[in-house]
Amino acid sequence: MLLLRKYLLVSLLLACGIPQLACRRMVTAGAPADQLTPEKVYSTASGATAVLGNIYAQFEVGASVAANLNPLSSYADETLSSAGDLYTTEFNSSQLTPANSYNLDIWRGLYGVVYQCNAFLEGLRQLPADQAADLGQLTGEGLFLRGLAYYYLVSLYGDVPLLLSTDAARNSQAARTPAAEVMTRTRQDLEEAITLLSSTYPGAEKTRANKLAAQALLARVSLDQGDWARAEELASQVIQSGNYALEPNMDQVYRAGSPETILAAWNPFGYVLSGAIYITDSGVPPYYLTDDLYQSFEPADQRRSRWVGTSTDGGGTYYFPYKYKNRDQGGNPEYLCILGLAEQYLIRAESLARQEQVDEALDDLNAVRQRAGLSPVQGPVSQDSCLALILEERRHEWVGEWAHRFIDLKRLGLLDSVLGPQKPYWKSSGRNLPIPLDELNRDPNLTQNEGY
Amino acid sequence: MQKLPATPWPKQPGARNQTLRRMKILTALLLAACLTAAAAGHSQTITLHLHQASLQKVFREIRKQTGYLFLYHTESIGQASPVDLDVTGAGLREVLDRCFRDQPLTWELMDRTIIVRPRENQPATAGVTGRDIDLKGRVENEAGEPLEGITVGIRGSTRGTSTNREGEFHLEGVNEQATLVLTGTNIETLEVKVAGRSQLRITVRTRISRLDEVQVIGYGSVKRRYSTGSVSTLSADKIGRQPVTNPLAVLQGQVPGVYIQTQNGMPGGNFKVEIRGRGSIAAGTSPLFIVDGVPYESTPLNNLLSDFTPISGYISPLNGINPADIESISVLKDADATAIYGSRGANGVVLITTKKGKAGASRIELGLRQGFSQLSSSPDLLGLRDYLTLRREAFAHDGVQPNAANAPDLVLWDTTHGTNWVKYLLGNRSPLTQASGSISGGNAQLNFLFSTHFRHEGILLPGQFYYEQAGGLLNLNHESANHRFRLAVSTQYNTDKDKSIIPSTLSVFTLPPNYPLYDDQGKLNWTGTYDNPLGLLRQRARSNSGSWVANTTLNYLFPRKVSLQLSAGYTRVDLDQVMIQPLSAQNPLLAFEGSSSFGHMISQSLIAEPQLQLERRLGQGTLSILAGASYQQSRRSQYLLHGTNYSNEDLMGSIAGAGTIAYASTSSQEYRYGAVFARINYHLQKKYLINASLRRDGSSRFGPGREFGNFGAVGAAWLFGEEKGVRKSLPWLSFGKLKASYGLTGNDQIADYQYLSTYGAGSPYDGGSTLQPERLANSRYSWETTRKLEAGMELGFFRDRLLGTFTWFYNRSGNQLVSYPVPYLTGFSSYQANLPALVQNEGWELDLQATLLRAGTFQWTTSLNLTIPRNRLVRYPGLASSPYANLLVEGQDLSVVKGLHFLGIDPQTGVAEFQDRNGDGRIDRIHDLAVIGRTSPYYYGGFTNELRWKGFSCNLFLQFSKQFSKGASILPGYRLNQFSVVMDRWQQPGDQTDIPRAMANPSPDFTRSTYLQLADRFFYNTAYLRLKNLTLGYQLPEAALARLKMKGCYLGLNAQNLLTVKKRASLYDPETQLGGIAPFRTLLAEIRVTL
Repeated sequence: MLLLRKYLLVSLLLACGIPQLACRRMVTAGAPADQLTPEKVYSTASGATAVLGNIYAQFEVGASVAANLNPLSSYADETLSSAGDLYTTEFNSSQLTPANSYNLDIWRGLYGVVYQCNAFLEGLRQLPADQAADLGQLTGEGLFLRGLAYYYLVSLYGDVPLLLSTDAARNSQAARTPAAEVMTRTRQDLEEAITLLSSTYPGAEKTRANKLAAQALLARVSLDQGDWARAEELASQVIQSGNYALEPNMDQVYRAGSPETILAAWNPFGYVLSGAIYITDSGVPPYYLTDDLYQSFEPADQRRSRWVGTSTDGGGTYYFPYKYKNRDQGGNPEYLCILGLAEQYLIRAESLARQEQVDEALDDLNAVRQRAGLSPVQGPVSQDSCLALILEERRHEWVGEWAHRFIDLKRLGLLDSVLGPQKPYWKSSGRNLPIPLDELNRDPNLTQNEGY
Repeated sequence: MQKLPATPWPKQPGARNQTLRRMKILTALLLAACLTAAAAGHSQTITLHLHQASLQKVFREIRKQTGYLFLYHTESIGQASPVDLDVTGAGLREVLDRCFRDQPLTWELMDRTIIVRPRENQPATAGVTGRDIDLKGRVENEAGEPLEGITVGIRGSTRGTSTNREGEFHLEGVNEQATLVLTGTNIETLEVKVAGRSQLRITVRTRISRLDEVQVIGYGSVKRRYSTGSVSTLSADKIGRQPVTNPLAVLQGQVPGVYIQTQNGMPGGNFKVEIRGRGSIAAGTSPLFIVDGVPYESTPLNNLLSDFTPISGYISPLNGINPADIESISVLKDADATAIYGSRGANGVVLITTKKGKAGASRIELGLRQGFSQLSSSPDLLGLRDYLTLRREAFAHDGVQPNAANAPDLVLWDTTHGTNWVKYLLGNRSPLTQASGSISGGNAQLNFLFSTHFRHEGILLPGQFYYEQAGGLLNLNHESANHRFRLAVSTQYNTDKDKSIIPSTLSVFTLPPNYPLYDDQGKLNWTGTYDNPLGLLRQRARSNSGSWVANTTLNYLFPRKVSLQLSAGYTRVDLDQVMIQPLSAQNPLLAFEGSSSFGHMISQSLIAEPQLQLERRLGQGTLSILAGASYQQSRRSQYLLHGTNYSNEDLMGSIAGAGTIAYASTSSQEYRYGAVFARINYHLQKKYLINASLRRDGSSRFGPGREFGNFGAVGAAWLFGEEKGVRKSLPWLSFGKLKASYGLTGNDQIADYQYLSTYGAGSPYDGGSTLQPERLANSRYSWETTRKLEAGMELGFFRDRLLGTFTWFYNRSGNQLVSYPVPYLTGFSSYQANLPALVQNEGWELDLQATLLRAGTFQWTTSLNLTIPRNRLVRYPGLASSPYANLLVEGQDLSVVKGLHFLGIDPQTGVAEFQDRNGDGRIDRIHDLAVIGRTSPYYYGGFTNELRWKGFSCNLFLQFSKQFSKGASILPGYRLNQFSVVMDRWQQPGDQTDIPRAMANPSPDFTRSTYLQLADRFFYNTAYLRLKNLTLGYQLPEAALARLKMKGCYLGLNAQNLLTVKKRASLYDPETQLGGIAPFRTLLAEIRVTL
């Protein structure tokens, strides 16, 4: 028994002693070699800039935010999709179901940008004083990118949760904020960004926002919100800055570094995903222009001859958006254009027309028309005709791009009158896309849009 | 040496046990003396000059001179008369003969011990004539393996001996006409006439009782008879029979409580394993796998390289273990068996033990299997004519004119010739070759086993696609001459190579039957988002994995049954993958460039475990104590390179040929784990057993301050069958045991670093690298714990010819570790957290084994196992406001499925009608859902029948399971092929059917049809009964073997997945359901030769 006790003692010593020896250090894994803690990331300006770079990249290669919006060209009256899968055909008939995975991609990509901007803005507060020389510029870019994301969220979904921090506990229970409130906050953020951003671009290319980019975006938002005066003022500032010019060679408008570009998203390949999707050598293109859109171009319009591609199959001829020319690497590099000068002309034209300055509006409209090889519109024209001409010009300027057409029809209240006759199952509630099913399942406070 | 022959001892009423014990002590003491003497050196001759000396004195002298020990009862030797001896340089045998000449005693030499016993029954053999001979023999089982510890007695005599490790025995002075009686706990008693032979080779029949099989358990082994926990063991004969690539495939249907579901039937495909149900809402449910004492990888190898999924799906790491090398698989289920693994025992533990060498003449075994595989079941899809009928009907109903964009199948393509795409892709038969060889042998001190194997099989796809496995195993065991020191070294290396394609096969199955492979210009045709099967076949995927497991165990047995053991192990699994997607092979709609992806993953794990074990008599029982520690360190790292812009598609197998490395990513994880554990076991009178285990664990997967957890269990068993009263009143009950256990185990199967907020590499921007947030960190989560309760009864009837085990288990898992799903609003889809939810798994297990018939050489044995599990989310406070609100229901199974209630097809319009549960006038996919069932199994099991007659054997293994599954979509008229159930569609007003009218174009009615997949009517019962394996074998008889100079030769025919009985549904297979390809049917011929 004595011996037994000894062994028991040894076992007990082992049992009790080893956890003390085999202490915490033994079961603590080293930090992963390929990852950095936020403290390290935000200890230098270059770390912060690297975080910012990834947010820009979300629009093109990361979450491909821009390409996610392509199906909205079928949802509006621009294209029809031939892909044939269920969720794409839902866009064709403007009848989305909440389970539509492409719709989830849009939502997810945009809120991904919102989250990363919030994390970035929070992280910037940790930036040590000796690294804070560009703090204003960096903060301005963060606000600008978040504003850009919210502009699309509100334009597509109406009321959406306004999230300004990374607090996951709160964000995962967030309810929807009225669209007007989100847009008010977005305008404030952009106003602030304008004061913070420098007039020059931070990099060698026009791939990061400067003050003029923020002004250009705010001009768009102001137009959207009916603040004609502010829209006109901002667009004028951009146009008159002298930094940009309309590119007369239509084949070069969308090349990297084009004089029209105010802001573009960089990519490593030299081709733009959202543009390349459309390009087709032969057969039925994935998205082909509706007859109505194709016929609406004036014959001389270079946007039809230069920016629309042709493909044949089974005797039929199909047209597809062909503004971006590259479908693979090699060739002249192209970047995704986020903001361009032509839009500022059309924004100013519209806000002038709204303010009864139709002749001045025609000047801006004609600037864009002449670049496209069209004859200028001669006055006098009525305000309504002028606005109609501007809308038509906008329709031809951004075929299949950035959901411009859908957002225009929606803000002008034209969805029912334009889409109604074309889409047999169109309902007015289609003005807002459905909140994705997955998201409703995960956030109990989120409500669905009317009609879904 | 300490083994005492059980039967030849004189019966001394009442005192037998006591005497035996005394003898043991005596032996031990003598042994000690012997060891001292051994050091001095011995002679083989004896010189003695004694007058009227007592036998004790003679024995002492002999021991001094030779080192031989004497074993005797003091009482019996007291009656011996004194002896006179005067010998010089005489042999031992001669001296002993003289000593015992006129004594009432006899002697027998066993090893180096002389056993002395009274000469009681001598008269019984008196009448036998014939001379005495020296008899040597070897006892084997049916498989020719030596049997140790078999008692060899002589009929009518108390003399006898038992066999050694090589199955050999030696009896001196046996009458040549005597009859030997062989008895043992595991064998049928056998009588053999000596008939003048001096060399005997005796084959005995292993008894059906499996109660005395030794089961491998955590840090030890135990006879099934004395096990307090729930352990199911599968032995080599069952494991090696099925021609499969993964040991998990073998477990399917064989072990109660273990649910195994094929995820993809392609060779190398993955399996889902759940032991006693799913206890965790979202943490891993994979059991802990331990191969020869070393924890083995359980997560699919390509999990983190998600771009790299070949057609066979996720790659199971268990492919790195060759089923034919396995000696046994033990599945530990209850708390008593698993708590010794503490935090990793919650999901059960699977212990895989590889084959070891056996002492004896070298044995060479060669095996060859040759056959072919084919698809076991083909989905029941529409033929061209039916497909087109529905398409045309749909356009007519929709009032839409078919054109090239919305109906290329009707307008552009040949409507006269159709292809069955399943047959096109997987309709082939592909050959399978499996070859193996092993050599084993050694002696009592050192034995070895080396085995190697190779397997090559086609995977049905047309073209050069195959799956290959090759590997080897080397096991060495050393035991010192004094049996104190043991060394075991085990190492195995296995590789597999999967040369296949990327996994869009299922999408090709539903291609319109008239999809043209080529366009007018002879190039591959692409339309819409359809996948061209030829394009698919040009996209190449190659996965090579290697798996190395090495383990060394040192064990020293100190006096007084104290042993110290150190085991150290290492595993390394690596995976090398290449995926080549040439531009010409891809749908131009979806791809702009050809690309090649290159991935590499290495997972390494090191473990060291010191252990101390001791055994003591305590009161009337035996106490064993085990104490040990465990330290493990694992690393997993991977990289992924994605190359594009290749100048030539032939260069795509190399990253160096890429014009651009489009992106590269790397990741690495480290996992550390430390534990101390102890187990105390007490056996009282071999009737009352109690077992307690304790473990304290630390894991690096938990944040600072939350690394450690305590786990433990208590188990007890009562062998009531051994009670005298039971024995007397229930003579037909040969075994009876009641057992129960309760304990706490944990689960740490989550991703590493979830408590750490970090940034990793993002998408490149402005020509530089960027950073992106990796996760939502949470440092507050800790162990998930499972409390396990079990009660069971084991019964044996008619000398264990019928054995039954009934078990009830009741597990409750709390503090649920979940990857908590959060809305994308948060920037992520989930984060790691604990939930207060409590999940219960309750169930019944039944295991029956019986020898139904035994007549002459004919034997029919059968076994049946059945599990009836029940899973329930007991409570989840705050469920309604959680992300699981629409996924889980309190009081229901975790796999609960919510769906719409199908009201039928409106006979007027042909549109599906559903119940509007919330009465808001419309059907939606959230608020109108209600529970329609669950996907977890209702019951599952297996049924084995084995028939033997002379050398012939027939083995039939059936596996069954009942569960439910959602089916594929039901869209008659849609532009993808449909399951044939859609032919019952509504056609005209008044039709009564469950299938809506044909529709092709989006409309609210069409959207209604898409909801059918959610409907209770189309939630299918996927119960099935599968003839998993049928083996016919013939073992050549002794005479033929002698002529062929072989030790054994087996010829067999083997069929896997021969037949499946199932119900009609829109599913690919009742087991893989919608997820993958059904397990292949394989037919093989086999030859196995032992030299």
